[in-house]
Amino acid sequence: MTQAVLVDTILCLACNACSTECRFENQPPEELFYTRIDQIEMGEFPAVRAEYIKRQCMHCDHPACVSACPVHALHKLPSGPVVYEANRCIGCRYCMLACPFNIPMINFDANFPVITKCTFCDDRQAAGELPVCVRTCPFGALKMGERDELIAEAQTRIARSPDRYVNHIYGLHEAGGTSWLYLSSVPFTDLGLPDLGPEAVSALSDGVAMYGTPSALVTVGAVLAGVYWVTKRRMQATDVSTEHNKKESE
Amino acid sequence: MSTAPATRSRLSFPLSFYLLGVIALLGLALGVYRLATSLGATTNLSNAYPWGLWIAFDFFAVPLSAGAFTLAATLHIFNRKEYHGIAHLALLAGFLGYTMVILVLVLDINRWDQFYNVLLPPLWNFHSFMFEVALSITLYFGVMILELFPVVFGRKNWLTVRVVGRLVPLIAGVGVLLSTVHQSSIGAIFLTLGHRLHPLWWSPIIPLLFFTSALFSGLSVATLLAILTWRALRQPVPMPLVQGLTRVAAYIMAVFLLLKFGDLLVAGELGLMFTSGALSLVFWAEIILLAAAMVIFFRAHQNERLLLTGAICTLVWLALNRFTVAWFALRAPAGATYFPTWIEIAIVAASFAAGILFYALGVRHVPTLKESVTKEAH
Repeated sequence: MTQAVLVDTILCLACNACSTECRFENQPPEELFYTRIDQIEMGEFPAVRAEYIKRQCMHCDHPACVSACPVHALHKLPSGPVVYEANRCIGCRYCMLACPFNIPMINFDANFPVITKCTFCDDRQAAGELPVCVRTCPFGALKMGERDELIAEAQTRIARSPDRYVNHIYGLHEAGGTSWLYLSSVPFTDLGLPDLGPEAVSALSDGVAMYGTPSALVTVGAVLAGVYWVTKRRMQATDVSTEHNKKESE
Repeated sequence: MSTAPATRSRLSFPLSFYLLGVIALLGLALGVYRLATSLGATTNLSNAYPWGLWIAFDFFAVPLSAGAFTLAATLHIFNRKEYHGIAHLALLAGFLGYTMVILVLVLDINRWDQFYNVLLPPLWNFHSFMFEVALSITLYFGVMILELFPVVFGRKNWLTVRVVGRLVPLIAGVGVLLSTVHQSSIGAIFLTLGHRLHPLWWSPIIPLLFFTSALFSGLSVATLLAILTWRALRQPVPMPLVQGLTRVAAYIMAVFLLLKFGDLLVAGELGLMFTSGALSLVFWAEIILLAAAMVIFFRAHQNERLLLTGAICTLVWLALNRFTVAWFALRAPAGATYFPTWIEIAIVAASFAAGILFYALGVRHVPTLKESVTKEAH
């Protein structure tokens, strides 16, 4: 039962109610955020206009941050949210680089900073409530539901007004699929979302870690043992033959 | 009335030692200051640039310390007993190198108070190469202490010395295995950063590239240590042994260059060698340094000074390569820039100073280590 959110950027009027309410409820450190509205200026003067997009953790189905974390401080809940446990974190900041969306952040001025990122309000979800941003949005730009149902809904919206939407649901396949899905009237790269293939960002790394490391260990271990055995025997053989020669010369 | 100048203390040091000591102590003080305050107060790291000079230094200093495991393999696995002198020096240098790596790592991670979590099995993430590197380096540090133990206390007839001495081939084997893991895993950390690392350096075979380059870097460090240490102690450099190392290093460099260009060819990215602006220059600087070292190692068999030049070329290549992968060629979000603060630079300088100082002190004043050099000459 993976929960997801469909963000319809056409319906978003950039009122910032979601980000303000989120800040009030979740209290992230100053200058950091769980969610925010990005403004992107488009076109040439005088035909300039602004596009807006709500950004937050995408809650990937195969999160690169979770794969990168050495101590399982980040993990994906079966219900959708990617969550963080501060008391496990060693602060290597590998997750910040691994994330293709540049989402995990820390407060560098804190003595012992913790990763700040959207939690998908996992605690509220567990209590049967909506995430703060979804609950707050006055224009219905955020819709929460089953991922499959939201995909169908997004397809319907595109089919109903093909002239208004780009024919693409961002997050359906990107980076192996995400729990947050986007619709837009302009190409998603213009909104600052990265152009990602359908493979999970960590797919290659995961494969090498699961199969490469053990096979390298076994191979190198066997080669080392083999070389040791051969050179040791050869050394003993030369020792014996020199002793033999000594005796003969006596 | 005058104090007798004849009783010259055994512990009188050249001026350079005091200089190195002052730099090291300054670094220590700055390190404590960093732990007491924050990364923001001491570094130029930011959310756009979460990795900077310190982690790049670590990724450089680990293969720089690879002399310990390559020479341990030569001595204990390939059973080339004539290398015991060089192996002991490489082990000392490697141990000091890993000490600096771990100290700088503790400064760099922002939850150093929870670093021990890496040692708690329930938290281990076998998908994460950062985990493999962190655990493997920590374990290898323990292995190096065990390896050093019989070297330093070899004369004492303690039971522990005898037991550890008997187990040395096994301990060395474990050390070589652990080194293989983390030298290649440092490269594998970048497997998942394909969206950030420039394609001239990102490759699916980057673990193999990091491992092979750690091998020839380790052999080059051993070459450098051998020549400089024997010279400093006014002994004739054991050239046949040094040539043995540089010849093997040259072959591994050839393999590395074939892998590097073969990989770019297969990926169809050879054109990037010319079209990447400043990074193209960095790429060619790397290739020229390494090719020069390889040619020197293949051809200059007798020339001590040339072999030293070759070793230095290799290590400059290593610094350039690891700094490029961990810093210059790692793309940051639009508009972000990073240059280290003087504190970041001073910490790195202090690490080198402390490493060099303790190496020199060890070779001069630990009798068993000194004998590694003086006895080798005969």
